[in-house]
Amino acid sequence: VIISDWHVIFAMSLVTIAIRMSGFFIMSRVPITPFVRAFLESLPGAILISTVVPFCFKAGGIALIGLAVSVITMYFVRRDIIAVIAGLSVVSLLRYFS
Amino acid sequence: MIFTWQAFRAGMRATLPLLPAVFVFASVFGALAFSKGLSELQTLGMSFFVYAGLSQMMGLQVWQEVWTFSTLLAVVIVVFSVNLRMVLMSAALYPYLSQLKPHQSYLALFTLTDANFILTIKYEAEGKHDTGFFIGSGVLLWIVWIVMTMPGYYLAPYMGDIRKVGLDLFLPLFFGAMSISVFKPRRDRLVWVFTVIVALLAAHFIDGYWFIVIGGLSGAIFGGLTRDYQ
Repeated sequence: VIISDWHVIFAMSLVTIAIRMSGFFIMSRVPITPFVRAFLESLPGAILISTVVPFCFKAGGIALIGLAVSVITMYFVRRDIIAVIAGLSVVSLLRYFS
Repeated sequence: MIFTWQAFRAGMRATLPLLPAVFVFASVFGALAFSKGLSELQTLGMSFFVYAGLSQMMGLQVWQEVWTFSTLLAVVIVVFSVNLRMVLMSAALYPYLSQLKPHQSYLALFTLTDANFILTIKYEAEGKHDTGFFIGSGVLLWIVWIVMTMPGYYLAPYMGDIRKVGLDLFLPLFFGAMSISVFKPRRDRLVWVFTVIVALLAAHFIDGYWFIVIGGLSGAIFGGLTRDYQ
């Protein structure tokens, strides 16, 4: 059997589509008990911070400072795009001088 | 309402500030695809069919000139582990998307990616539930992702270092800012402390992107178990 680049692309696609559907499918089979409801309520935030915090830790000190600036700006200004621009400005300044 | 075009457009509008970052990310992917010898059509095809940027790039890291079954399996495993976090996102969207008929929900999930997930979570935190928002955001992101792959593909030899302007951190910082909108002190303070600790430990001890799934899952289970103390 000869495997071409397109076979690989379709294999990647099938895996990703199955993943996209699976969480929804599983939840449609699980009875919504108080535990499951609380689980689902906590899930988005838990995904969010378990992505951001380790990622910035791995990226190093400047990334952590940028994250802190974004989060603090967001807390006071409540405009996401301003918060991100503030964080990125600090990051590029610090990278320029280091 | 379950689905309105008004919310569909609102989802598109909410996505606009993210497009510069998508553009950069797509260009980096395009440049990488060029350097690995993919044709234009294959590059576009991968962005269309896979539509998950990080996994596309990680897949290219283990790309081969001649394929065997075992190298194919290696790519599939890489893609699986990078994308596994979307199982959790898909589960988290169940209460929101199950307003639709099942086949519509699964169709909407084709567009699931980090950006429209996170925008929808913020939208829901504002007490809105129209599914048009998620779909509008996802459709726009999908189109922009596919189209913007090509400039990077053609400009690959001329591109400078995107790290200089800090754009590699756009999405993490955006997620960080979003977490402020999603945070509910009573519900989240214990759960988030627990989640951060678990995710950092997982990131330290296990290679790859497993920390997202391990942290997210254990955080949500913790939230479920401690629901009476919130």
